[in-house]
Amino acid sequence: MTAPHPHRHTALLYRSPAEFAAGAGAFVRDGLDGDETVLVVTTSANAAALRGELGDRSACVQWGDAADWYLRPGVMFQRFLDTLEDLARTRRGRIRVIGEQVHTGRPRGEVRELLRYDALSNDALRATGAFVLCPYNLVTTPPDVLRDVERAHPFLSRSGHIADSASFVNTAEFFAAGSLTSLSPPPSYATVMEAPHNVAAVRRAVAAVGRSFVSDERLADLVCAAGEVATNALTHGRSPVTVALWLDGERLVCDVTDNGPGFPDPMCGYLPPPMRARSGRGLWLSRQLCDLVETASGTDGTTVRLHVA
Amino acid sequence: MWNDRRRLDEVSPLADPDVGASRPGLVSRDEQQLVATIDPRGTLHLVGEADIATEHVVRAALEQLCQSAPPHRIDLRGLEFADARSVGLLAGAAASAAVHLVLMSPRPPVARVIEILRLAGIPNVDIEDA
Repeated sequence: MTAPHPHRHTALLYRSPAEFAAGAGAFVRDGLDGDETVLVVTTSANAAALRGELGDRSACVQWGDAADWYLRPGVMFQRFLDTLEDLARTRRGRIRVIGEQVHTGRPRGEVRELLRYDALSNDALRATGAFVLCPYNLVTTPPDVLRDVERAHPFLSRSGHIADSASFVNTAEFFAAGSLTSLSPPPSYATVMEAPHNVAAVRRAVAAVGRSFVSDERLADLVCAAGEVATNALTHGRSPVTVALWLDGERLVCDVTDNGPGFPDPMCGYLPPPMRARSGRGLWLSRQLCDLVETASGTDGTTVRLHVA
Repeated sequence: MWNDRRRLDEVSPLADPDVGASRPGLVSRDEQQLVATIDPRGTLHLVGEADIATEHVVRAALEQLCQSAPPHRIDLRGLEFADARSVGLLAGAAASAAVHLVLMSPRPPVARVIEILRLAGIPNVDIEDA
């Protein structure tokens, strides 16, 4: 099987490990035949199936564990960007990537973020010229998630056939359509700080209340992120600003809410800011520090929700 | 409300507000939050916390520091916190070819922001651990 060109960003929709191995195997072999660099990040079960399919040639592939790579959406994306940039600099020829997101057991908010980064790959990875294949298991992927997968990828591969995705939309449209107008309100037991005087007060409150719920390192990350988000709310948002903090299972969650209309661009803070940018670092930094960052803007104002575990 | 500094009542003082008032080389300070001094050897010391409320302190201190010849040493041992904006000011200062910043001994929370914002990737920035 040969792939149509350009094989820029394709979703591999499979129903079994064998179907995965056939589709992924063809993609990898095409790359290896052309002396390309191949990186495969997938589940251990799919990695085993693909190794079986590739035989000795699996030694020519760089392997990554999806459970590790996809742990935190913001960190995951930066890792892919860095790895592809590194490979583009040090290797000759094209780079092929298989990246399989694992959604099982993850809250919808995390899946939403992972899919947003997948949509972002269309633009963000273009400079590297990489071919990207994103496997999704049709048996475990719910219909609403599958619709987003088809909207995020220009090409779909099913049962060995690759075709244009009829519902593909550009990144800005994907983000706009998936923007939230509200998040569930904080629970009644949340600790709430009304109208903080300044950003330092927010950091102190988060540090004091969050102590002992997560490790010191993760608390320091949350304190920093809460400060960044509060800085945005206090400078660009509309008063009153409210901070709420609570424990959700093993996660410490922090809401920063203001009365304003929110971010002018739903893609704000998803891509690394230019090194010497004067602003726009705060939200991006928060996405590198937290396990998950969610934003919602509606008539009730704007909320940024930070999660750390 | 955040810039009304008389109302920093919830902020526990990290540095004695009087520290630096009589210290030679004091560049600038924000009440209670950040003190910047340049010692006789030309090293800038930042003590306290750097964020949007103290942006003017960092800005003024950098301006003065960078008037002398490189390298421009900044002692970060006493800096307990720095936000993206403050670290961005350092990156901005290093945009000038005449500047060579040496960031000394950042504490873990500051080192983390410096690392994520990739200051080490700027040619005229060096980071020295303790």
